[in-house]
Amino acid sequence: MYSTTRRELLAASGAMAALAATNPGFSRTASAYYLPVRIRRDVGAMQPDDPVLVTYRKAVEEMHALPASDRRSWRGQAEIHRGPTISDPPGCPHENWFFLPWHRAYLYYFEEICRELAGDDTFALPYWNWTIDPQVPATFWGATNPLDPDRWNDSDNLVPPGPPWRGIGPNDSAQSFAVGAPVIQGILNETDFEQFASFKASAPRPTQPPFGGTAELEGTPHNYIHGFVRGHMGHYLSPLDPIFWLHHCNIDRLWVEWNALGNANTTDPDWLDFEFAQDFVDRNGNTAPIKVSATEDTTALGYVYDTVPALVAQPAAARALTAPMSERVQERYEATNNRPARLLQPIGIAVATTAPVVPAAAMTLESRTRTAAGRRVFARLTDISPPATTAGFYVNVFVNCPYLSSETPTNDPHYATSFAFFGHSHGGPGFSVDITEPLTRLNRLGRPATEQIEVQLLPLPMPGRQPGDVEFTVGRVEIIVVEAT
Amino acid sequence: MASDKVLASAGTAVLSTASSVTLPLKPVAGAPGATSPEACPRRLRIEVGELQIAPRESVAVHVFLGEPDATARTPFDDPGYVGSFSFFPVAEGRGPQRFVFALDRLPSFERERLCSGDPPSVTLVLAPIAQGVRADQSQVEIQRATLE
Repeated sequence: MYSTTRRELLAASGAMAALAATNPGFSRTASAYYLPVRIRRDVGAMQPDDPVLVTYRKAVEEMHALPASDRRSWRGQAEIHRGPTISDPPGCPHENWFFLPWHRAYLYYFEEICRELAGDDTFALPYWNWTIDPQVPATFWGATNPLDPDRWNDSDNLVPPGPPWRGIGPNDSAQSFAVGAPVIQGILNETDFEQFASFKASAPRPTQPPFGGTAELEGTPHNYIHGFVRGHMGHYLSPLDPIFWLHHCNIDRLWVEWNALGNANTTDPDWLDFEFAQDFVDRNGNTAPIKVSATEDTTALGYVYDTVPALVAQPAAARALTAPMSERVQERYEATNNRPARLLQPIGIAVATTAPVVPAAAMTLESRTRTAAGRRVFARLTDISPPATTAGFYVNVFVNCPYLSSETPTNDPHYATSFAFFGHSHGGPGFSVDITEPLTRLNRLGRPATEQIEVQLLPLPMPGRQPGDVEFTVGRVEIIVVEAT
Repeated sequence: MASDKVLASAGTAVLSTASSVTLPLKPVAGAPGATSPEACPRRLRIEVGELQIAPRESVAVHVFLGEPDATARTPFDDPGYVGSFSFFPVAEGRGPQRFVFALDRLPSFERERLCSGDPPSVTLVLAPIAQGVRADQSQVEIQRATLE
């Protein structure tokens, strides 16, 4: 059993390893900072020996080795999705607004169990981006492959018996009418929460009105992929197929992306305050109640997606501080500061600008998923007087938020990114934060940054931690506008 | 979900593979704003009843507005194409399901038709979910289509 400190070290090294693996410009030795969150990556960009897939295969094997009575086992996890009986809760909610938060919590605890059983505290679930890669990934096929359900031949009396336990082969492709970029872009363009996330219901499996309704995200790409893969995937025991978790990870990613575009979740207490009381178990097999409100912020749950640039600050930072960028600087502004930041107390550092700072990066699906192009804006934080203790807290960064408080969530349109200190007794090189996304969102909302950019820092405790005396000062903030390549 | 105008189909229809069903939509008496011809529907709700989907089959339903001649061969860039839905679980069971589409992505002239007060129709097409997938035995009961 690791001590807390040991676990933190592993988490830190793992996060940095992941960043280094996915971002060639990131130097593991050049920075001693790390994100307090793990990064969920695209399985389509992974080789078979990618550490994420190595761990996932091991976790699937370890979960199969557990007795079915253990709810952490492969069978036990699938039974959570089905519920005790098909008609009785708990079990997976579909066709209503509990669909997204229930599955987010389900994946969160599953990921935790994978980490525990595989002994890899750095593990983050990959996602299957069927829009870009419409075939079930090649790494999920093979008679002896733990990620192919035929390897396990798990019993499932809800569907025609296998093997094969999938109704398709490696060369079959999901069709664009259900998962293509125009469909997904249309879904992300929706601004109404229920029309995005499915409609209000009185309970996850309602027996009285309102009964909900299925919005396009759930009814089209989500349902389609279940029906496309078929076999286990066609019914409630779909988690018996290892691809299930990556499919739902992609649905979860789209929710994050939708929030990152500036769309807010509902504030209806019937949704926020609902608790999934008995549904899930943690890494030790203990029942783990969780409220819907606790699922809103994935950063607090310890993960982000690599397709949401605003949430992945550090690799952008490492690139931004390299020399070639200085040749592409179009505008530069700066301000100094001597006020310290303290836990749960947001502070803002205003930088005056002589011209409106408007990023030109196009917010297209393609730019979010693969590359970003156009003008980008960075806030560079330097001359840092570091905190006496660097563990147990992280810092959310916002831009020009008039109502910032310790409760402001990371799906707020003013949110830019998060960072943390790690193992430092001096100020280090500082942080460079990509603030292109929040400026783009605010511009779209009719609130362009015309005279100043206020970079706001909100130090928060990591979940379950009491970090004690947190105080640090960012002495200088530069706003740097560059021409992105 | 408030709307100034509600149009709905009457009666149920059974959708089979390789066939389509066109449902005329008429104003719903007593619905809020039902007499406001200038109001524009914002959503299309399809309520599905019984599913009969054979083992190893899997289907999708394609939805068109104002295209009574739509078939499984109608392209998805047809201006009346609203979207598609599928089912989870794939097999029958689960009782009524409601699928809701936002209409603001329709081409502008289709939107104008919707807003003109001319009651349109909804055409539903049942098709295999993908190439190589069978759906010969499948049927889907459509209970109601509502523009709201």
